[in-house]
Amino acid sequence: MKILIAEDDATSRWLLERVCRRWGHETQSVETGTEALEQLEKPDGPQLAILDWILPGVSGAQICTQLRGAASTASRYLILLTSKGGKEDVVSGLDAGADDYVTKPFNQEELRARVQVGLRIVELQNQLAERVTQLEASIARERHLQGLLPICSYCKKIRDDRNYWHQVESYIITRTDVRFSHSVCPECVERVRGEILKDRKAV
Amino acid sequence: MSAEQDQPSECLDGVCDLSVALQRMDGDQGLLLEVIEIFLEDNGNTLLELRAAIEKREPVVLQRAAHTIKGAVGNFAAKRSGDIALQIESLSKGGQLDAAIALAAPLEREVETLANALVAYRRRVAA
Repeated sequence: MKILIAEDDATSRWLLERVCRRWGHETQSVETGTEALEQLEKPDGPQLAILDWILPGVSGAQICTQLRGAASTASRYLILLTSKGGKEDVVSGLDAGADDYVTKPFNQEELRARVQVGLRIVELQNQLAERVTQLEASIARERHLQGLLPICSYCKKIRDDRNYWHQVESYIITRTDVRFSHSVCPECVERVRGEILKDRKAV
Repeated sequence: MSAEQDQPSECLDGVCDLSVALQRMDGDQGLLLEVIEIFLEDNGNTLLELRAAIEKREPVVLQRAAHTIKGAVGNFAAKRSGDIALQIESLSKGGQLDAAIALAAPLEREVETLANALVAYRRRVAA
């Protein structure tokens, strides 16, 4: 999974990139808050970001607030980098919408563990979003069958929204997950048997 | 290279503590040397930003430049330069621009001392 790193200090940025790559993650680095926001606002932008507290342009905390305000970016996982002892920064960062924080200079093991937590949450969110999409599609299909269906009184075909007539079977198959197993009911057995016997006599 | 030479304890007191830095990097000396390399390459640019902020008397830019330096030197547990950078950051934030500017020269001296210590360490490790 791609991790966005927003850090204006070249040394810390390089170190963050290096360790994240070592842990098997793809990284994208930016030096300003403006660039970070631009990347994170993209629909296919990175889902996890490590943001320095103070950045040129837009601060890490402002990025959090802005992303949380939009439904499309509200689920980005944001880790703020704060200074040691900057407890006020930590509180206001979390209030602004950050998911977690790491104090600088960071300890590799601590950062790795926090990134792992973030990735796990992003993964769960993705799975949840996929389930919701599937559920919405099912509900939409069900709704489709709940309305008033125009049906031919003689041949029993059903008319669709575009004015085409379909057999009941094909109409249902294309709109639901239902599949048919074919059989013959006792009434039809009697009727068909009668017809066959009648044909044989005629022959 | 002897084990003694490999120890970063020669660093000046307060200038940096590379044993702490090494610990944070999981004991990876190669990684520490690369971080030193990046710092020595970029250090000049950061100080230029600091000077530009002072020249323009822009407290927000000065605060940010000091914050950047604090972050960079923090990687080497550089207490003295880190403390001065923190003071400049706080003073700029609090609107005490002149007091912040007065600390710029001591910060530059401390950063230079740190850079020299890092160069010496790198040379020692490479020997």
